[in-house]
Amino acid sequence: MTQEDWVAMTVTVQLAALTSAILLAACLPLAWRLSRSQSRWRPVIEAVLALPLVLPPTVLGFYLLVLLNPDAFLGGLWFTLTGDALTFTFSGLVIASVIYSLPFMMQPLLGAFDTIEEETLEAAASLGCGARERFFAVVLPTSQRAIVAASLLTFAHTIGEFGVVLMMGGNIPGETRVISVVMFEQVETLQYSGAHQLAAALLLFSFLLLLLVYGVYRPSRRRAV
Amino acid sequence: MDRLHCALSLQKGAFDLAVDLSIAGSGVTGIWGPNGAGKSTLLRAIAGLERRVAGRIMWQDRCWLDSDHGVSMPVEKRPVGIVFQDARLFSFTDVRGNLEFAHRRAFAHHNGMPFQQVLRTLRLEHLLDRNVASLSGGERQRVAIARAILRRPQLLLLDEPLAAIDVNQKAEFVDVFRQLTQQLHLPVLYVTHSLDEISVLADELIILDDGRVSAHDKIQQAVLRIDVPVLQRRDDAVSILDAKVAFHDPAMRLSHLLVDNEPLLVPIITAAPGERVRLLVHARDVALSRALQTGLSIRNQLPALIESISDHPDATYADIILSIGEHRLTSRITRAACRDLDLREGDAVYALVKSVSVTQRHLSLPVSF
Repeated sequence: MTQEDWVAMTVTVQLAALTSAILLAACLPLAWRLSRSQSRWRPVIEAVLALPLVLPPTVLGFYLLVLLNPDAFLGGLWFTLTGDALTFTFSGLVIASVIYSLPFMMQPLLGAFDTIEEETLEAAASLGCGARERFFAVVLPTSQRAIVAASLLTFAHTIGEFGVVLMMGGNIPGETRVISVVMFEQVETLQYSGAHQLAAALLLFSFLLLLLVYGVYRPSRRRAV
Repeated sequence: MDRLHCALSLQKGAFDLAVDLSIAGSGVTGIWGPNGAGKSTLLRAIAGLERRVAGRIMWQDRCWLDSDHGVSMPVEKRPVGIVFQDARLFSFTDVRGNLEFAHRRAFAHHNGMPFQQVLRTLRLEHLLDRNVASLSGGERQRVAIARAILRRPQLLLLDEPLAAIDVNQKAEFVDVFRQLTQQLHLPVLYVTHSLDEISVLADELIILDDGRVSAHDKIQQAVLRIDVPVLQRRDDAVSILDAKVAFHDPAMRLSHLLVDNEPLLVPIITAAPGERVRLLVHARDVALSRALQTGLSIRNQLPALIESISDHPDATYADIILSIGEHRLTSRITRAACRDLDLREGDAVYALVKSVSVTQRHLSLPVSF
């Protein structure tokens, strides 16, 4: 791989790692709140959170471009605060990725949290755990497989991001040029050998990651007894 | 003595619970009643697991609930240990992890049983590294009790702990539980729908019916309450006798007990002479006779006085409460027999006891003879 490829790889991995970390921190409490919610709005919230799953990345990227460019309200606000634009920058890409990969963190967590029974939480409360401690001492350890799986899936999905990046980030080396964009460019310019290398590397990487996910996240046979 | 005072009410759909109780601060208090009587709801309200409970709960000088003043101590702050019907062990860890979870969060202010002694008493040493999913029903409940005790509560609450246990393991559980309560000096509230089970365990009994307390008394007295409709509706009235072991007759495989100085023979038991045992006698196993019988296979004939006769005109059977010294024994005979023998209150009769259940300190098993 060329020096350029390595730079793109570094940007990609940084983007995926940061996105996963942000999503993990945000989704753990969010998914827990949602899973315990009996609000009639829950389906609406779930549908909104799952939107990035089905929306074409270009649609998502387009709306983000419209919302986050420095002339728009949100983008302008950010520009005033930081002096930086959110379009065609790494920061903007992180925000886009967080939205793009949100369901991949949210769904496994929600699935795992939904299986935790109120009865188990009552038992924890009777052993001295307040609401916070119930979450950290019971909910998290019970859901650890799902948490690892959700993080890996989010990481992998962000690595494979293309459409949103192209709309939002463009192709700036060392800033927004990610591996999938590099590969797209190589194909466009008929550099098939480079494309082959990257494609094979991504394929292998994705497979290994999924192997890890399914190795860790077997459907749980252990239940509260 | 320290007591638990609770005057509370709570509405759950069509069901409402309203009780005013002062519960002993030591010993085992049974809460018994038919399904849907509100036993578990009462226990959960005391524990702090029910919402929208109105009233007051006081434990010693601490207020757990005072709805008039907006006081409601959350469950995690109340010094209670709860054993649920379904054990509710944590599946993310093993038996040891479950126990240490509680031990780490033990109340500091109360003298509790050391970790190793809890393990020994509940016979858990060999189970420590087991996955909780691999435990039997009885093992699960023993772990659940150990977990509740390691929290070092001041009050232990059990909700139908035997419901998910098969018959063979029940005797062992009762045995272990009795040893435990004797060592712990911890007041226990024990919810069950089985009168047999609670008879061998409890000191006091609260009878709950349709959300109301219909009796609260020493268990020996409470089971005799023929004015209580739920007891009337049962077709197997029981009485509880406390007896002392006099001596054993190994040749005949019999143990001689004394009930208020009257001899009573039971199949041989292991309790030492001088030890106290508890007898559970079903009313249908007690026949009456005007005179001491000879030529009869029944060995146990206790002289008794008829204290009261409950005799419904539309019933087949009559329940006769007898007094043997300070003990009370119920006999269920047909109303026809009662009429033919012309039994009246105050009459002297002999109670012919066909069968008893004996509960010893280390053993609980029903025996027939």
